[in-house]
Amino acid sequence: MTRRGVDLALRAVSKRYSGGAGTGIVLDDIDLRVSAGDYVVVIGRSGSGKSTLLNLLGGLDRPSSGAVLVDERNLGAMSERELATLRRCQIGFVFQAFNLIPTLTVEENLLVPLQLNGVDRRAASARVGRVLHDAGMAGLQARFPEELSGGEQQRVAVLRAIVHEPDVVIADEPTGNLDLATARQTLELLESFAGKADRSLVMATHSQEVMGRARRVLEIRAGRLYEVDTRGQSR
Amino acid sequence: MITGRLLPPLLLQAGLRFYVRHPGQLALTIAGIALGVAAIVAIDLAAYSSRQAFAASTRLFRGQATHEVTPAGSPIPDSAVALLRRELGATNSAPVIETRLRFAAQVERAVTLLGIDPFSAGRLQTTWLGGPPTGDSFTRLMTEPGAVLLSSALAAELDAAPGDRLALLEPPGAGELLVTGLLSGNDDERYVLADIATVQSLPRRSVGLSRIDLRLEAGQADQLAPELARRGWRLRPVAARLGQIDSITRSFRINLQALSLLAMLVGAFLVYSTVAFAVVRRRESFGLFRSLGTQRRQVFALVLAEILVLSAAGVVLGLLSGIVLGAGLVRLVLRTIGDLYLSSSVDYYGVSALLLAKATAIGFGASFAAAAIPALEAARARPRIAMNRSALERRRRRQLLPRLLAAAGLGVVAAGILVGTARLEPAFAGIFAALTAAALAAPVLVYGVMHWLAGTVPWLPLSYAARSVAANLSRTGPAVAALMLAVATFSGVGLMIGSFRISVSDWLGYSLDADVLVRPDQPAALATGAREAELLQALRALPGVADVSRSRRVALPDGTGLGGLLAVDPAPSGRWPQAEGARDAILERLAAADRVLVSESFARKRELGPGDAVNLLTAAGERRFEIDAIFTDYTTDLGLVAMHLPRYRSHFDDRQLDSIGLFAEPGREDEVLEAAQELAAARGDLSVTTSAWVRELSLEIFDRTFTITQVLRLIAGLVAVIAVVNALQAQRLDSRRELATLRALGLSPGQLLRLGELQTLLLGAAAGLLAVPVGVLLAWLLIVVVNRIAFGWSMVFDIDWALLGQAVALAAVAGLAAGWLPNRRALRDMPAVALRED
Amino acid sequence: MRRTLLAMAVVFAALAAGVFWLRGGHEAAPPADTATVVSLLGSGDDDGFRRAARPGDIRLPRDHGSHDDYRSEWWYFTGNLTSADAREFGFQLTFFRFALAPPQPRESGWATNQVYMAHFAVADRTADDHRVAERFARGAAGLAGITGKPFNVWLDDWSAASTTAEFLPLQLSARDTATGIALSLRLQPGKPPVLQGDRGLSAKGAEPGNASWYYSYTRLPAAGVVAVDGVNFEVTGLAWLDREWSTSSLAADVVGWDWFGLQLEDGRDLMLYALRHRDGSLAPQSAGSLVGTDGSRRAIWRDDFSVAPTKAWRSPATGVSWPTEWRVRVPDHGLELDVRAALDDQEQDVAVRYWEGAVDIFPAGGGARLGRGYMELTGYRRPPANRPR
Repeated sequence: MTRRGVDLALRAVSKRYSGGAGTGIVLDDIDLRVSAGDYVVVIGRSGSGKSTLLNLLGGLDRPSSGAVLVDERNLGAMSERELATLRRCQIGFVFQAFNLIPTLTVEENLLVPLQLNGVDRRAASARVGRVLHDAGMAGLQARFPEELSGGEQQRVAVLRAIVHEPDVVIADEPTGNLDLATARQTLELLESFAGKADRSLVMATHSQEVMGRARRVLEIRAGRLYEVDTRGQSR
Repeated sequence: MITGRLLPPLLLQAGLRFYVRHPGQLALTIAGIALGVAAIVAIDLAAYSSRQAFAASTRLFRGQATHEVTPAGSPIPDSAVALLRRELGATNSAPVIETRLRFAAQVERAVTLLGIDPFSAGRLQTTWLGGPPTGDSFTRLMTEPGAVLLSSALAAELDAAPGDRLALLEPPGAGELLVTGLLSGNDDERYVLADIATVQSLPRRSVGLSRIDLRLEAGQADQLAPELARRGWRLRPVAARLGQIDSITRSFRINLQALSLLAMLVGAFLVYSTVAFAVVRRRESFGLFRSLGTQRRQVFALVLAEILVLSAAGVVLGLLSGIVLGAGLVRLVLRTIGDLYLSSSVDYYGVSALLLAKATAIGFGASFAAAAIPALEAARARPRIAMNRSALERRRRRQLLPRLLAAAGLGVVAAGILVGTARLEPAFAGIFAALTAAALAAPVLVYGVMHWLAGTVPWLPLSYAARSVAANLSRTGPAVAALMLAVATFSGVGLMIGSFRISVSDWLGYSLDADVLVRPDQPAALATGAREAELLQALRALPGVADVSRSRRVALPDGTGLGGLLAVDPAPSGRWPQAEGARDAILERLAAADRVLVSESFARKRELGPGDAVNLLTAAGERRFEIDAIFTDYTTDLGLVAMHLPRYRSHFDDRQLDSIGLFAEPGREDEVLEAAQELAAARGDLSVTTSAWVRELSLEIFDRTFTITQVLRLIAGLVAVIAVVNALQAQRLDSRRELATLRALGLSPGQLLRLGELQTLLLGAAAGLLAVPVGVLLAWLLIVVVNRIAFGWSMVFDIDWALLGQAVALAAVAGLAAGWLPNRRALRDMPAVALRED
Repeated sequence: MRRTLLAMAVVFAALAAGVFWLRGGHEAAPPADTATVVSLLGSGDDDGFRRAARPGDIRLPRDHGSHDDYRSEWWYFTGNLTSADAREFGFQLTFFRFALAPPQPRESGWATNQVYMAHFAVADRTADDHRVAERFARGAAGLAGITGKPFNVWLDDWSAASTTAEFLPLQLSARDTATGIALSLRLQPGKPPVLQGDRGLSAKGAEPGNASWYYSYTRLPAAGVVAVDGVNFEVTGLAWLDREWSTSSLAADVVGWDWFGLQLEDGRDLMLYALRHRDGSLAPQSAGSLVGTDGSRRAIWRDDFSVAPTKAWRSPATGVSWPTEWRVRVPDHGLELDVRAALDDQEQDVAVRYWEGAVDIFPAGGGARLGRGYMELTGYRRPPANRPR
């Protein structure tokens, strides 16, 4: 079966947080479309709302108003169960803090999404072995996350996000905690996945280098979203 | 610089604010302390009140008595008082007959009936408890048959007023009593007061006076004592009576003491687990404090200061709920006392300042002791902002072996204590040490089990759950220990009671070996002439009767009066006694020579055995009786001596019978019962019951006696739940981000819930499984060490697998139940919330 | 008559006292006032008891024993004794029997309706010392009782018992360790018994049946030992026995009585009792008798005598004013006597407060002592303390 990817869209989405000091608007009436095969980078200052935007796109959070559409289906109308299925099948997440499950080995961490998708154990193990081998980390499969370096952990996290071949990978500052060389390795791993047909990559970052490699760059300023052309100029 | 002060206010504020922002944590910690304190207060209160009740019953109508005369070998006849006054110079003397009765309107409780001579009581300046009787009831008391005064508390219970007639259930055939007045007053004593003649007119189990109270001048006692001893009576100071009461209530108090100590231990572990959890949760804050320049002793002081505040709240709450719980418990205990012992069952309920002080001290003490280890750990926190949690877990894992070794060492110490002691206090210390060792080892063992599970079972959710349980032991360890201990106590105490019950039931089969029991309403009436022979002949002639046995029971005539003497003429086809050796040979030897059987308690307390001898004060003076064998008896821990009835009669001036057993030919039991009932109805001086009924009643009383232990089990159950809630909160809070990640990976809510439940089930079941051997050990120690030391009797050790299964189930269900809310709460927020939290 | 009232008062009080003692020992309520007991007696239920009705029914020695079918009864021994060194003592040993209810059979060695009270007092005139002891016991289980032949009345180890099959001689024995007094006295036959009132029937009120049986031994030579605080005194003297039993109540207007038993050195014995109304006048049943040296009796009726107090002594203990000296006149027999208490304080503050004590007899207006006797005063109250302010 051939995939045709997935289209993500935000329509008039706002996100407000109510806290002790009153209400803060993080995202204010935003429209966005990420088509299948896109490579989108979101930039902005700390606290500008990058993570919120990504969480909304991935169905980890719900908007205060507006709609999040996945292939024209409104996430707001989906049950938590359907959301879980969506995340399991079509989306992969990479976090700045890696978020590997500390009590599971590298191999087991990678097995989780496959098992969730019902891949049988032998096939799943084979796929995990191949993915690790391709990433040059074949020797690490029996290790626990705490026994890995930060870069290794993040690459395992990336592998976990892509091992079940989702339609879109959402990565929240995946290189934020990494040195330049390690960051580059991680990026290459991500791009190697996203480079394939119809697979999208949405990534929040501060890194100039990443911005240069993306197809689209978006900037969040004061709750609004601006498209930036690759020469670094806002429109 | 904040180094100068032990506890900078801002630090304490930060510490306490943690609890304010985590009210669940606050509630758990306080509840843990409160539960421990409440258990101590409640059980102590019950023990204290039962002692007060006994003491009060001893003081009842004694006035200024200095001494008392009690039967010791011979009954005290009515003429004894005149003898004392007219010939022995003991003018200030007052006869008392004390007995028990049961009103038809209040079947469930027996009441003390005091028969006094008002004029004699006047000589001792006896105080009416609750004020003098009202109206002309005083004259009527002496002149009207069946006239009684009720204490106001009893009158209120029975809803009785002067003029009412109250039907009696016990003694059988006693008819009605007429209430001629009330003893007004505001105390809670419940008793019936009557003229001595009225009491004597009731059918009774024994003849003679219960005692004569005396007010003696200095030196008078020494002259009197030999005169009285010559007649088979004993003179002793009233204070000695209290001593005897002490020995009677000992078994009860020891029971309660053991319970309150166990409750304390369990409570302390709960405090430890809650405090440890609270500290572990904040180790990052402590690390931060340290990085800001706080000194170790300041962090240590901070934790203790927090505990001071929390335990103050917990102690107050515990004292209050302990008093409430205690009130219920006291009622229970006193009812048991009233059932078991022939003494007043007054409802005395007082809270002593001493008791409250003790509970307060223990509450704070246990809290501080329990907090000390976590506080030290907090103080050791390295000065950095975020400590790697996995590093902490690693360190903890490195501590596993030393911990196991410490537990093993403590276990060896416990065994040493338990093997070497013949006293109760060290025995308890030993049991505590053993339980503490088990509690120390529990988290280690849970870790081991989880590790084994994770490595063995190729099912990812299970190995994930097992590993997360194992990985979270730094937080869940103390709670696991508390849970294990609670479940072990639950099952251990249950096993002990179960074993005891089986032993008692077994023994009842031996001691109540006849099918039908016939009791003369007035034993004394049978003791004359040929009336006994006549009755026996009539009974033997009943259709279906194969055999007849007779028995008589009196206070042990050895000068101490502690314990009993049982004289039995057993039936050839009966089962009594329950002793080692061939029954026929034993009975033959008892009949042929001055040989006796002694109960286990007797043998152990006096360190006597077969081949030794007992000296008894017979009518002809002191005589030696050789001990033939040891038999089983649970009627008194003071010890029982048994001899052949004809031998007893040849040595003692007592021809009364307490009970006659009828043995039916096989299949004719009902026929015998009917015939005996007919005979009794025709004669009017016999009561007839079946052994089966008495056995049933005995077990019922047994069960009621141990109802109090159910309270401990209830407390253990509560502790179990709180401990698991504690552990789960720890785990849930820790794994929120992990769960959010899993959700991001696409785990459905149902899957997450099942995963959470699997974890909590594993945790509970592991603790429950570990509790099985510990519970069995506890039961074994209670049976083999405590009961043997305290009461001198042994019992079969019966392992009730159903009960153990129940205990494991309790733990598992406690786990599931406690995880219900946290598991669901983990799903309430969108995953983004948990992910953002850092 | 006199002591029926006292006895009934006392036994009711005894019951009350029993209650008081039982309640709280020393902070007991004060002894019942006679007046209140008098009112209590008025409502007594005497159904089922026999009553003294027909004169001449007394038979001796049968009637020395108890009469359980009458409400109350007593054996009242008093007397004056002198030791070899002329130390003088008065003594009183009294046994009261009181039935709480008519006799009925019950199945208990303790069952009884009979209550016994005994008073034992010694007045040591030389030491100006009067001591009294009081005991109660139920008439069962051998604690207290009466046997007829040989006669014996006892309560604890206090007793009056015939030493032979005859009523006399009698042995009196009593010992009380708390007060330190003891008595062991042999009473020999003196004058024969005299039947008081109308052949032994002593009227108490106007209505028939309201009377008692009453006889006296007015002169019984006595010898034995009196002990005070362990010191024994060999003594001789004269004793007096009053016997009375009845089921009677008190007239409503009687507030108290004064009784005199006087043994004159000329061999005559005079008994008088005066029943006082509230206004001080004497009730018509007041009476007495004079027994001659030969034992012959002359009845004295209310109009034949007068008694008048001549001195009041106020008890420091109770505040009651007792008339301890009297002028006694029996004109028909030429008797005009001054009766004076041997010592003022012979007040008996026991279950019922009364005054019972040894007296000396003088000729009116002064002169050598004419004899000794015993006097009983009841119904005197503390003067009201309502002085105007």
